[in-house]
Amino acid sequence: MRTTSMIRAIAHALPATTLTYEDLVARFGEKHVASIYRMSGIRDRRVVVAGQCASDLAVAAARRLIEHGRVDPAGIDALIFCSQTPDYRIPATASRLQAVLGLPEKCATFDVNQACASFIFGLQVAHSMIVAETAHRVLLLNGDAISALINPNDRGLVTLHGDAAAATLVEPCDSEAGGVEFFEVGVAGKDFDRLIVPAGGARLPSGPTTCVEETDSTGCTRNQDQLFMDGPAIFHFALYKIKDFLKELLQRRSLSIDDFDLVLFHQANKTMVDLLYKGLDVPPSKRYCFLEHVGNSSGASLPSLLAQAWREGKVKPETRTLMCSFGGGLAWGAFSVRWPADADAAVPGDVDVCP
Amino acid sequence: MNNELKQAIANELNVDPAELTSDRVLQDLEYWDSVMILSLMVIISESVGKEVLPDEMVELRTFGDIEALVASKRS
Repeated sequence: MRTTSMIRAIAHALPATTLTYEDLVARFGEKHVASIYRMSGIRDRRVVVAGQCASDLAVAAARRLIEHGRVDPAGIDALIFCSQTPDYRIPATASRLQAVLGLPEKCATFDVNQACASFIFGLQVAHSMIVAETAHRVLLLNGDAISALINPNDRGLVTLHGDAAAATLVEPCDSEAGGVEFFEVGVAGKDFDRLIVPAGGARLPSGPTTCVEETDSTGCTRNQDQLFMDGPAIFHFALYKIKDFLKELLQRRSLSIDDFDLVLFHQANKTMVDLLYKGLDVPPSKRYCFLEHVGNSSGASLPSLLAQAWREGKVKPETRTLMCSFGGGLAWGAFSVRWPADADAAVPGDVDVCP
Repeated sequence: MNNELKQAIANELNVDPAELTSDRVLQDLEYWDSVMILSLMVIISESVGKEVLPDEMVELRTFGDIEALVASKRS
């Protein structure tokens, strides 16, 4: 017998406010929005309003786990909050969340600042703590509210990004019964500036010059306190690097897509996800998307996708799921789970969070 | 460039294929933006069956540059 970790329960939360297709038509014009919708597959996106933080969404998701009896706050040994949009620069948001959720002081808390691949990096940390027996039950929270960092006139980014959070209970599991089978991650640190908010940190503090708007050669407007994405570079990275990474991983582990019942990818945009599915010959029956009415929610995207797939009955006991995520950093990762025979039903309840 | 690919690019750019002369400046097209660059990157790489690099896309200035890129990928 070997101890591994297991996702025992997962719940996601979405801000109640929707930035609709029609809202964007009024801002950018019908043809632009129609063209972007055709490429992205994202019609509407859930976004936070002023004063609503990623951590508020994460609290709502965690409370659903507690209210439905999946998590006993007193039994949580570690709380990990993965986010690029923390409440404060200091301290870690996880400290506040420990108090808000009523977790005991013995519960270790810390933030992980990772981008779209944060579910996998966070889960890997939780797994390592469990296997090392430094924690028994870990509450992993993934929340990003990137929409607040995007210039309202940046038509390349406004149209893609939504906000969301997810709460995941990670516990030990006998590997013979199921659980996480492997993790693999990678980072191309040389490309750290391809997806970046340049100002606001110690290297370039926010000031009068960083909030000056500029319009680039493709007509996108932003300032240095806002998110910049080198779209073609990110798209290329996701398509070729990730496809090769997964092909090599499967081959080295003597696995194939046939060994999995469900294959889930970070919901960057529909074209990218479809090209990855096609490139890896994933049959339609093993595909699942959840972005048309929510948008790309960065680090919350993959856990929200898993939570929604679970709610729709796609996560079944004694099946295997392969998950992969990729994005800013540039970081990526993949892991596989064999769901045990005693895997619980999905967490019910309303996912909408009002401000 | 074959007519099928030219038509696909024209559809994406929301213009008549006849408007896509070699000297046509892409930045002057109403629909030229970062998302359009991604869409064309996919259309071209699917058509030629080869990887198209982001730098190759970002360097495009005229429709003639797109024709030259496609020709170089097919050769």
